[in-house]
Amino acid sequence: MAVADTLARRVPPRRRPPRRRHRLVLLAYLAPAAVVLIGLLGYPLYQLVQMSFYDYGQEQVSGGAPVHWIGLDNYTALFGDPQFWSVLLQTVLFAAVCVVLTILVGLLLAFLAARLRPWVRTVLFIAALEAWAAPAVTGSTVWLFMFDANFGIVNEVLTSLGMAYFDGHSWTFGKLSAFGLVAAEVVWCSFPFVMVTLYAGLRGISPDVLEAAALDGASGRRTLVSIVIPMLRPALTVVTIQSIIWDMKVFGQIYIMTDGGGIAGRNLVLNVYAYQKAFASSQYGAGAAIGVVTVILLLLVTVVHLNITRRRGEEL
Amino acid sequence: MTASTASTASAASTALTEDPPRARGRRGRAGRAALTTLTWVVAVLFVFPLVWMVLTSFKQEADAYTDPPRLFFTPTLDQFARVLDRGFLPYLGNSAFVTVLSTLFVLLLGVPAAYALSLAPVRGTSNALGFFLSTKMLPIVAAIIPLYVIAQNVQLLDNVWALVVLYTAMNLPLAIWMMRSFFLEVPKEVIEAGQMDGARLPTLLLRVVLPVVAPGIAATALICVIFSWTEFFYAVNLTSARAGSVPVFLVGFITSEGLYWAQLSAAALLASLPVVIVGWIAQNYLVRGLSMGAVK
Repeated sequence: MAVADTLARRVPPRRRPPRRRHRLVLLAYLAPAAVVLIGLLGYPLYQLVQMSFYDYGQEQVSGGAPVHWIGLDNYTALFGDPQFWSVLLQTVLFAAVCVVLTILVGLLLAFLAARLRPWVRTVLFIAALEAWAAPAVTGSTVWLFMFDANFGIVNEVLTSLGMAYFDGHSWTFGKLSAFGLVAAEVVWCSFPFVMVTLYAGLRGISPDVLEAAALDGASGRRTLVSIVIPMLRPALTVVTIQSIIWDMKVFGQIYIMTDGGGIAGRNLVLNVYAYQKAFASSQYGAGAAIGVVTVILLLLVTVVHLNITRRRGEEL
Repeated sequence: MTASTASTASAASTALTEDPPRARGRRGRAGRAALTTLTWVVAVLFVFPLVWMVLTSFKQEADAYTDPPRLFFTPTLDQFARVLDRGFLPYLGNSAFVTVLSTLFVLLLGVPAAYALSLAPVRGTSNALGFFLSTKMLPIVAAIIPLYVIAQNVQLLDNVWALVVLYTAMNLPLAIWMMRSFFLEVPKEVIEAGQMDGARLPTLLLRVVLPVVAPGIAATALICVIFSWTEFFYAVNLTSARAGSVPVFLVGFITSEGLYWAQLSAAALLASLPVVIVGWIAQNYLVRGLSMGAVK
């Protein structure tokens, strides 16, 4: 009880507020949010886990047919399926690339924004807001349009620059280029949050600190590594964890841009894979099992990340 | 944007690229130029899709479909008129309703929770925060089946309230996390002074703490607005003609008529315009609010 403790240090003990009541009030403040989250996110999660232990198909969903408890069968089938492992690997790699690029782009543009004249910065902010506020549906479609094989501006520019190879080149056909295109769009619509947050973090750094560093003869890189980045770290933790959670759960962009997961499903990520299993092949139990795997994976990554930042001496 | 805070940030970024005199060298200068160029290239690359979208939205459909693509054309507002003709406004109304209400609910639930977390002991806080954060990890794609069944049972299918409730839950964890960091920034003396005066926790929150953290809360609210505005998976699966939000309209647009690039660009522009306007107005607030807690 931070307040109670600080009070206890400074004023005689008898002025300390009654601890039990204090704690009850705090609990009462937390309870509504906790109840809403448990009800709306915890309960579906519980159902998801439960469903993953059943043979849950179309007859069970629409016809009310009896469900069979099959224990870990959905999981053993999943783990025995080579496609699952390749999708898992793809998801992790794809998310890693997106997270790293998003943070890098957001950081670069945050530094840029800090150096711009106010009106240029406003232009950059409006563009960022626009990219942020464009629903994934239209963002994905606009990117597809720009990279269209015949009518897209990108191929046109590349061809006119003398790269005849790109005349009519399909960006969505090759596995890697399709993933790259989706990653570009994902980064495009998630960098604004990172940029704005980090820019705010930059403005929180006192100029005195930087001046002192410059007076001490610290080089630009040294200042960046020893002062700016550490002071940005709390902001960086927020945007990194958020980005990990988003990018591991990418759905719309892949679904729209690769037409449901690419040719023969080679552009699948876990979330789209779960959707295809559940809705396209009516194996809801199997789809649920993939969902559970995603949750566990995300929990692991987040806990590891938080532990690393905590070991550096910061709390959550 | 005040001059002093702007110079703070620019000092921070100058530190990135400018070496003090004696550390300067040819390599350093080349590296700095390269970094600046890279930054500008990235900025242009990321702004270009928007420019192209805006340009396309003022084209006739025939101009959008030329090979090579046309940079110069006679601008027209036809596409915007068509989008409005196709019943865009009711969807816009739904989106506004859902966004405003869910954001209000997030603040109503999140402010007390974040306040309590900022006062509670550290260990318990980490666990509680961890819980709040972990609820964000539920993959909505997998959760949609149970949610659909629940919505059906309580008769909230194709009802705006289903989205209000779900977006509240969706934005709550991040909002609590961010707002707690702002509450932590409130100087201890302010809270202590209030407590000495015998103020109880609710009074303290309303009279003393909230006015201090208002910019941070405004920034959080704006972020919730953006996320609610753009969410489409719940919307597409749980609503249709009656309660559909803007993304539902856009999906219908893409699937029903094939692809009309110019019209779609116009629709996309209209769809994001309200948020951009709100964001533009709140820009300084957003940055000031976020930098308060330095997002801890």
